[in-house]
Amino acid sequence: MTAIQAFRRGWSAASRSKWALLLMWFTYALIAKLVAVPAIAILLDPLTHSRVAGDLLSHFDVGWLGDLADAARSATVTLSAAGLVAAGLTWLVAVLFAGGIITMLDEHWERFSFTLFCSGAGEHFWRILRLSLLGLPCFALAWGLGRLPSMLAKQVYGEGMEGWPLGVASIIRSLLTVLLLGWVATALDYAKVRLVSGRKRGAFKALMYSFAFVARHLSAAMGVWLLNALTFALLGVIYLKLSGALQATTTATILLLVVLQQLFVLFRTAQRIAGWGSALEVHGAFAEPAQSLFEPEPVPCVVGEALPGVALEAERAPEPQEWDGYGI
Amino acid sequence: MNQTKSPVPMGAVLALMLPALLAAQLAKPVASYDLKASLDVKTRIIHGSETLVWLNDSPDTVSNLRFHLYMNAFKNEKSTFMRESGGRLRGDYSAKRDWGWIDVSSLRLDGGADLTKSIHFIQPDDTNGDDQTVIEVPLPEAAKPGATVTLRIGFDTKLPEVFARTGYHGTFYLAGQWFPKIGVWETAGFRYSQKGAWNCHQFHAMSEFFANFGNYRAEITLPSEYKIGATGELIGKRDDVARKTTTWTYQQESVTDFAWTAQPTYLKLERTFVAAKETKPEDLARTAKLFGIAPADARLSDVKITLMLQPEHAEQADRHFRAAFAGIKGFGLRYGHYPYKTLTLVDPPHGASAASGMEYPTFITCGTEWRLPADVLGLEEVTVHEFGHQFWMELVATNEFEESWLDEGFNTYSTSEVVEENFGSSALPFRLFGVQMASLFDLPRFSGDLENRFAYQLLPTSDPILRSAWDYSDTMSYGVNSYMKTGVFLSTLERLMGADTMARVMRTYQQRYRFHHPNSLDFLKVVNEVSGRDFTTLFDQFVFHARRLDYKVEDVESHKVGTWAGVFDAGGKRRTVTLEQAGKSDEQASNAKGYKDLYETTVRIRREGDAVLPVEVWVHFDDGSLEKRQWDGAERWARFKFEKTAEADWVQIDPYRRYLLDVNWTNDSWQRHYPVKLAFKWGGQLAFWMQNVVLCLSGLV
Ligand SMILES: [Zn+2]
Repeated sequence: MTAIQAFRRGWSAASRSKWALLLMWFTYALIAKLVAVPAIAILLDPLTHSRVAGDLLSHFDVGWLGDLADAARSATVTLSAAGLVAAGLTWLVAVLFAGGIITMLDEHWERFSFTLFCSGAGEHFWRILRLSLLGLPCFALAWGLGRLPSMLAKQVYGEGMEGWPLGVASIIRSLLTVLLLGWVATALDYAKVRLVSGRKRGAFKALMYSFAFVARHLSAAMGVWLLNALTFALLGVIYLKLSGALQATTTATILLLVVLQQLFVLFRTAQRIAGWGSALEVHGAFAEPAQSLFEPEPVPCVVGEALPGVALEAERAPEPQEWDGYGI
Repeated sequence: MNQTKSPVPMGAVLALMLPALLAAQLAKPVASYDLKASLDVKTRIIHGSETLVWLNDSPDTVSNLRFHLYMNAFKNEKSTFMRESGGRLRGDYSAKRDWGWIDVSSLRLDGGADLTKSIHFIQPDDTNGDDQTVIEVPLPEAAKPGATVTLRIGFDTKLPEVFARTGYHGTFYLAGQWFPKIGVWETAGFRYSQKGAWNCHQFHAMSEFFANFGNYRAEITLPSEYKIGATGELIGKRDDVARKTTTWTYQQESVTDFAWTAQPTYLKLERTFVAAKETKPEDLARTAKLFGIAPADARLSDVKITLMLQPEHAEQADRHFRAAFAGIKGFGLRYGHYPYKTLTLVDPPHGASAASGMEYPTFITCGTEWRLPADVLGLEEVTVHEFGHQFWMELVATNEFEESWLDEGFNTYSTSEVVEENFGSSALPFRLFGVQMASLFDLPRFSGDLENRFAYQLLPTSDPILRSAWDYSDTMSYGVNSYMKTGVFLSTLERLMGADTMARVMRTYQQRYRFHHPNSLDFLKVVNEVSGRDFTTLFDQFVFHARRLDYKVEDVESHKVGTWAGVFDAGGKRRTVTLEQAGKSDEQASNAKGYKDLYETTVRIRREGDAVLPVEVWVHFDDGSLEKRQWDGAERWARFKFEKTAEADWVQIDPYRRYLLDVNWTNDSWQRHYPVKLAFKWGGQLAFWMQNVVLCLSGLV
């Protein structure tokens, strides 16, 4: 399977998951409001009855930010607390969505089944949570490795008379960082797919396996990531250009701007689902059947005409007696 | 010792004075130097000697001399400079890697006594006995009024690794404040002086310099492969093939200092600012009309510009020259022509950024970086600013130790105008993968005015604007008050008196004190004289004290006024109107054609700060009428009442936004209608970016 095929199939899976997409979009939007609402209240409070508000609507006067100095200082605590709560919630919700949606995609459901979604989310919650925690040091490592070119350039040229080696190093650094972060994120997606689709329990093993898998099938796995990254960049530029040109001051243009923004957010949300869909495809195409002594055969599932009962049956099937990684 | 009342035909003195005798003098030479320097690039030591001719231009008899030995600030951690800066200044803290110092090996009167042994260190500003940045030498015979003292001084200057303005980095050398420099004798009535005394401060972390005018000549010997840039005009070059050295001779009249730079790999580029080509007749006509002078007097003169550029910034050569041209023209038309024939722009290399953004007579250091985006105007701002110091530091040579606002602040104000006029506002440097993205993300652009007000709003009352540089509460306060708050103050002054009057104030001040050493009170005098108004109160509250200016609309209320109820005596009769009758009467009236309700509107303005200034208040009503009121701001609050057939729909304090010094403009106004659209737009915008953050975070799972 090529990257383009996997990319296409991923997106067609995403397009089949409209309800899941909407649910995800709605939930994340709610979480975002946890911070956005108090922030906007704090920002607008001094403007409630100020004529500056009118000026700001027609043309954002950056000088106004200086007037905000006092309000911003007192708002720091409130906004930090809201930010922490939102971050915690996002984490939990993301774990649930990953379990639920990958289960559904794996079962090739044509229509959204809340029951299946919930059973998937519930069944895989702990192992995906463990996986996500294991992912953190990996991301940190990727971030650290990404800094290497700059650190190296600083060691070699830092005391020199020229700035260009550091400039070039910083460009390489940002490219490398994005690539490494993408690699970790891709490996995490494959690990989730392995946990859900392969009914594995060991998050650590799944992660190690996935790193190896992504390395073995680099062109397909990272190719999909690259295509998604380019699509994101392209649509991002289009959104920025459009919103910049809009100069929203009337009710109609403001509405149009909000619609544009939410379309972009929907695209980003769908991209998550498409990513999982592609990973399932690539994983299905290349993964060797698990023959490990510790790993039982995957539970067979019905493709196409699936019934909710199947999932329940699968649930009732005996838990695989798997060696659980390093006890993580 | 050599003290005479008339020019003495001494060889050195004559050589020093000859150009002055031949050409029309710009300034009376008080301290003139004939410098000889040879750079040893292995030891980083400048072996130097100087012949100093000092004129006692005062009615006092002076019995000793004081000199700055600035380079000793970098000698050890005990110097006042290092203690105040904590070894960290201008973004760099590398001095401790390689120290700098200056040794005076000999000091003798020309043809007279050797005074070397009587040199001793003094600390006029603090009790730090370890500071060696000022020396005092008693004269065997006191210098009488009008006498000249000629001294021959031998010295060795070890340059530090560039730390604050001066030093070396790799093969780059920037020699500033590198030779023993005499202080300024201030006689009674000169600036703030009550009686004759030396003004010769130690080198402090925050302070810059102060010196008399004089004529400078310097012979600098360098390894032949080095390229050189220096103050003044190059008048000679001599190669020593055997030693592989070249001696360069520079000369400049009527300046206060001499600096030079050397580096073998410099790109040395030259262009001439041709005044006739760069200024159009309409520029001159406009300037002449504004200042009431003849167009011929508004003319500028040609300037030969030498750019010492790092090879990796080759593509930015044009930007440097354009900025210098903008400065010469912008400052020249505003304040009078730049009278020197040369200007040298220095681009310090990467790793020597502590040497960038510095001003010396006819010689400035700029500052840029590899592939600086075209819309980020850091390079233009620094170049114009440092050039501006030729006017606010050099031509009007104020005491930077004691009144930094008169050079840095004035220059901040002038730079904002010239940069805005020539280059507009600057984008934020925001690069992704090396590509500038500020315009794609529609990030706000910044102008000097805006940056000044931002900084001022952070620290509006930390100190008065006027302070000795080392006497501000901290580094940040020195910066905000000397630069940005002064910028905001002068812009406020401009808005209060009008741009044209302000332009005349600044030009008058520059012209009157060119080649002199004015103080803050001199400037206030010019302000009041030229504007024809008294701004003493404004100066008192912001320059000499640190008051906070903040007016606010505290409350606005309009309520309907109906028929009054109660007992009324009129025409000898008593009439009672019951509440019921009053209500009925209102109802009948409101049914009548063309009837309008009567409203009583109360507006309360409050003075939140301790700065008291008169202010204008506008109250606008639904029927389109506008009421204007004045308030002197003396009390804490003022109440204005109006009876009208309309409600107030907005109130505005200081409608022309003259008080840039008001720390908060948002509370200066009131409007009845809530900005629903704004809430909707910003709410959407904020939610959108938060959604993106949430999605990014979820991507980590
Ligand atoms: Zn400056």
